[in-house]
Amino acid sequence: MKARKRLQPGRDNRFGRLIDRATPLHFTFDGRTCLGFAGDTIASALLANGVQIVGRGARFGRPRGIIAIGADEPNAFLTVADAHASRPNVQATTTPLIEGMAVTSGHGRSRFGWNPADILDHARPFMPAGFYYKAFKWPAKASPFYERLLRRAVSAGRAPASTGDAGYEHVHLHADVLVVGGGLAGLAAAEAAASRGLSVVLAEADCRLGGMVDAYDGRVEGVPLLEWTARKAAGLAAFGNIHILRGTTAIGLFEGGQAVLVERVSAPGTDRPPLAERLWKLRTKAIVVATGATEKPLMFPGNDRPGVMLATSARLFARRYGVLPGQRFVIATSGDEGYRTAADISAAGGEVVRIADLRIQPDGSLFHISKAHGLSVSPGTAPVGTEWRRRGGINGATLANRLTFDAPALEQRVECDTVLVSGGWSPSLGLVGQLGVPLDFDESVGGFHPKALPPGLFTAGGANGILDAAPVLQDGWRAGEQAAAYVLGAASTGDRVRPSDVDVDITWDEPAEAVGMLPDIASPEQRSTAFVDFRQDVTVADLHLAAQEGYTSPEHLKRYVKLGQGLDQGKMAASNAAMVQTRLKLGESVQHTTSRPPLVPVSLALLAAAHHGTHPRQARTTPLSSRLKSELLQETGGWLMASAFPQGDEDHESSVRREVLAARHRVGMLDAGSSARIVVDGPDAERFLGLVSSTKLDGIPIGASRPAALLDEDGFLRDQIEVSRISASRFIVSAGIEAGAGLCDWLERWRSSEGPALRVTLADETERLGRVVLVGPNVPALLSNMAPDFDVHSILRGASFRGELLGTEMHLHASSHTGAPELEIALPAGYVADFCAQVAALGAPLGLTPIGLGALRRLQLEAGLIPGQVLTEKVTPFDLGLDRLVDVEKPEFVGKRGLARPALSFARHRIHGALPVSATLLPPVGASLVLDPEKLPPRTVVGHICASGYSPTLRRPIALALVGTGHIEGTKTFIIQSGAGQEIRFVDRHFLAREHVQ
Amino acid sequence: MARTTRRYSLLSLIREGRRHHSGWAPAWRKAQLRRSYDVVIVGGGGHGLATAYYLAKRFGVRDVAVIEKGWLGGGNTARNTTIVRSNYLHQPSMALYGLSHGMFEGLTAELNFNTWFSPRGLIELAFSQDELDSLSRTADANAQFGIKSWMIPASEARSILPLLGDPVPEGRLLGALWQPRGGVANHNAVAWGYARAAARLGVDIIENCDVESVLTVNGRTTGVRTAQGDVAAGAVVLAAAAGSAGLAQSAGVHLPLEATSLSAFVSEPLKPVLDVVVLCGAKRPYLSQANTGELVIGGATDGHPSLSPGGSLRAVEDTAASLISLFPSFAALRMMRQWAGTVDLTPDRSPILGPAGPDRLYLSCGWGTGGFKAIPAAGLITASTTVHGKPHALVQPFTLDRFTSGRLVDETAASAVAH
Repeated sequence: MKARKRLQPGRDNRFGRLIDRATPLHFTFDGRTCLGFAGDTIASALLANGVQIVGRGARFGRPRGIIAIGADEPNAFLTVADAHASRPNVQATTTPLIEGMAVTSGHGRSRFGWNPADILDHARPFMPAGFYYKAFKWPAKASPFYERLLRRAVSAGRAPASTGDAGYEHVHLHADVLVVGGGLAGLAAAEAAASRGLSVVLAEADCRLGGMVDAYDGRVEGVPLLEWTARKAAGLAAFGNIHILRGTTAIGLFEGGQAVLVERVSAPGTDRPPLAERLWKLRTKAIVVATGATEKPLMFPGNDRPGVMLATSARLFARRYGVLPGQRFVIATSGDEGYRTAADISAAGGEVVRIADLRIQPDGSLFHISKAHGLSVSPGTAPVGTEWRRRGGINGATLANRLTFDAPALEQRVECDTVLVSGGWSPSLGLVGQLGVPLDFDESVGGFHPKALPPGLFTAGGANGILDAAPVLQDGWRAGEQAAAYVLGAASTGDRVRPSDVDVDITWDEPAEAVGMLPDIASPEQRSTAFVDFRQDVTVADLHLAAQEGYTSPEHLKRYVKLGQGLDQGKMAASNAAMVQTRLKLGESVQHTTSRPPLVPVSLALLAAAHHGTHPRQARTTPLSSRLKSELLQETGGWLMASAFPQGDEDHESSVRREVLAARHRVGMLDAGSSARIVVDGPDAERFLGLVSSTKLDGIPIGASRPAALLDEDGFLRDQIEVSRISASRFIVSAGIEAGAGLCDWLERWRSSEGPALRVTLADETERLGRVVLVGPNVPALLSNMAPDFDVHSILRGASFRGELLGTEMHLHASSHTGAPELEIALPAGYVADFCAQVAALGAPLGLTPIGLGALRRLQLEAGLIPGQVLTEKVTPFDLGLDRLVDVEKPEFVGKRGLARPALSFARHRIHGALPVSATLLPPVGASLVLDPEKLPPRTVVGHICASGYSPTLRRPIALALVGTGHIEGTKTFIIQSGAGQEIRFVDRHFLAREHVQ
Repeated sequence: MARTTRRYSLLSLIREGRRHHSGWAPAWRKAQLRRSYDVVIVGGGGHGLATAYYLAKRFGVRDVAVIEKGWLGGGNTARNTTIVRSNYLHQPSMALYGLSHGMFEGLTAELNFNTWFSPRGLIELAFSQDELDSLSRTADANAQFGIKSWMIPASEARSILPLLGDPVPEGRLLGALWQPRGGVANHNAVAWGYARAAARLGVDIIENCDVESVLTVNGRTTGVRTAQGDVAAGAVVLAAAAGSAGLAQSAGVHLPLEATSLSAFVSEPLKPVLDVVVLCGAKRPYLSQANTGELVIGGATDGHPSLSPGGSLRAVEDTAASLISLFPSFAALRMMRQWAGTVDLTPDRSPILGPAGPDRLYLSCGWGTGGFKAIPAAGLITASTTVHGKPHALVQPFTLDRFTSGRLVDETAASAVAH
């Protein structure tokens, strides 16, 4: 590996236009110190430092070099570390070089001069396509070993340890027209649409506009092409209605004109700014895809060797970065790009040993000019092999006349150190394919084209298969015009002529020949080293074998050989693979496989940025729970609620027991802010509630309330609610503390499904009001402390009070969350915290204790209340003995038909109190109740423990069990703990009311 | 012409390697659709192909056609996250998925096709007491049934998942359900392996042929109407996921299927970083690392009826955010490819198997978000049901009439995907 000299800038700053030779950048590659310049990409800097091998193929481990200059590069995916973080799988061709970068290939030679992966290449004959499915089967016991082997051998980087401190954001934008691609076609399209007064977003993946114009010479309107383009771009920027996004890649197009773009915010050469990437979500009326085309490599034996590069990419490396990838070049070209590159190489001082033009009779102007300049051109000649050594790289290429392929004697060896190839251009249509547009392969041009574009989607320029500058400009303008006409409506489809039919003086290309495998009559051996997908190591032989084995559908073929499934997503491989498939004449027209977003990989941090770093399904908090430290909180039904209030170093269970005893013997204060409170209002409110609830709800007197059930469509219990009537047309639906945050949405779904005929509105007041529950024998004393002349006993007996207390307007009524005597106080959310502080102060002498969800559940268990969620079992009201909440006479209610089914119309289960015979055993929730514990599985299961806990009041563990009604009472029942059966006795579940517990 | 090679073995690989692999036979014949078959199976995914294979292999019924609308195994077989496990909650499910799990263990040898079943261990995390209780119930139910799956403490779960954040915004990790033989398999290999094995036994596999309706005469199934004409059949099996509903309708049968979109994506490839399958709870992602290095990540369904083939970006964003909140270092990973499957959900999240109603019409659909793991067993018992004309014992609990009788097999809690 020796450093190459940078080219001198030359006339018109021809070579190294993008680098700043005054600003050197230091970096390392596989530990070796290297030097680049500001403006370099990692790839250009590596080439300038003489780096040839940047990676290895996924299957055979063959060394690979940089082959392209853009996003289609398949080989150069490297691990890059800067001061902030280390990133695997970074594409060297699209990543700017930064001072101090440490770049590693992870595929270098060991210090012994070779890499263990080299052995794989020798096993190549025995690793055909689909080898993965045929091999690694013997012996079956060894499969974990094979799996480990394969997983370790994966050609990929190590997972990064952290993201660094980079920031990400999402931006939403509406625009009339999105133009993807800022090359000649995109610029023309944007200008055409914008000159119609439409708002246009022009997105260019590169940080410069102009696309590939710098690969070509010539004049437009008398001005050099590059300068003309720069002026044009500046002119567009002056338009008020064009938003130009540079460094922005469109990664996905979705239905309805939605486009998703990723903008890389970091500028080359600068340190990382606070924001790394921005995700643009665009809603557009029309989209012009002007993503250009990618140059195709040629398929010949040994075409994957480091030192083989695309002709146009080599030219651009020289022009942009002043790097010539070799000294002695053989150029194999099926079109005119090879001649252009040859001219540059000569100008830069490189030696063009031979130009092999695949066309039998080339007759374009570039061919003649090259001959006239004395370049050695062989028409009708193709490369059929490369000579490559581990030390030193390529030292020769074999060329053969395409008309005499069957005469190996006529093959000619040419000495060189670099082989440049051009197999013509293939339109980049990945974005179009994402919309489900079928892309057909056209053998005559060797590229895909869309069968029919959906309304509002247009392609232009290279993406449309148009390659010469003048028609590209015209086609871009045409697409912009059509997009504008589409947005503005049919009325304005007047075919405007370009404002000035510009005078373009750029040499036209003679069309490239679409070629397949070379030599045209290849042997199986030759096909086995002619690569189609360099990233995934797919050869022409693999495609032949896949077809032979019947994997002829493009989707099967892609999966069988793993074509295009690597990091580069097969951008360079798709057209060549299709060419091979077409030549195989399988009888089916070859279509592009379904394109999936994103077009280029997109970071998860960026995708997740819409959530601003918070939990995506952030639970709601009550005015009280929002003030608590997170370790005290527990999620229930979409709410974060206090779990317990441990004092000092008290553990959770001790705290729960203390809180339960406080509520039983003194007074506890419970946050009930999560219990739903939904106002149902309107002339049809009563009818609506009758529809959604299985309970008879008509005729509730104003001021009174009634317990009710809500069922799902299948007839299973969704919620137990309380319906209170405020006025003739106004009701309040309330639910338990753990009932869940989704109740209003659920009601809304049924309301909207009935349509506007139902005159009723729903308002979720849950968060408008704070609710506090006071529970325990000291509640009356506490209340009289707060308001001496207050009749708390009448409220505990069912009356309600609305008025001022401790200076705040509030509403008091008896409630039944805990099963103990309690009082619920509702007041505006903003006052709750202050109110609770005052109550706490007043209640301190009475032993007032804040209690959490743990204590709530334990109190409910002691009272034999059925837990809000009977675990993972769906139960009907009949199963829980709630028959009174089902009005079977009602003509219809949600879940009526489901509940009426024979197996559900009677109680399938019953809830019993469950006590272990061994009084010290706490039956765990979820434990199955079995009849035959000593038997080997499967055992007879009759039910399960659905709630359990130590009762501090009764001083023993208690539990509730959901038991099938088929279970015969008196049969001995067990749970299995540590392998042994423990007998469970069923008792009345109202533990506190019973003596037997004692 | 040299002899063709059908069997995949080390010897045949070496022999073929020496003649440039010119002798490998097609994996499955490209059959021409005939006018009449004993059994026609609609849907060439894993379920349809496995049914065909077992019909031919176990029951000697070889006059069978599998008719696929698109390409073989191109529906949900190609789009799922390939998880294989059997720790379900109810006995009928444990029996079905348990049998299937066992069959996966021997599938590579059975099919002479490497299906890469990798019993690398499967862990389901609990971040709240409710989740822990729910998993504990599953674990105990598994133990009583004989499924090897049990609860492990949080510390052990953390040692299996060193990259799990601590603390995580989701709450405290309280414990996990562990199934040591749970894992993943290669979905393509399962489809192709069954197709190849079935075709070798004489099954006709027809691709790119749309079945338009089921033909019945006086309540008896007589065949199907396809884009290539009518085909007579002694029995018809519908294994066409969400497409089964329309076909059943043509025979006058209403299937309670709701189609919705389930999105998944893969990350860029990485060196081994995750050695087990992780389910993070019902509303959170589930993931595993493919042998090719990509993390395969699934999330929740769109939550509303949808036939969109692309899935929604919104669902992917949610899944990514949730994943990062659990595994903070994955924030730096990139998503390489996103896709969605159209899943056919039943009200109780269990499949519909067995007789559809009209004589000789059978179902294997409603697999929803979890059908891949059931392919071998479902194929076997559907084949048995088709041959004997009455539901196999394992099919019995999953027949269509459970929706009218109310004997549901509710696996909402154990399906591990939010619906």
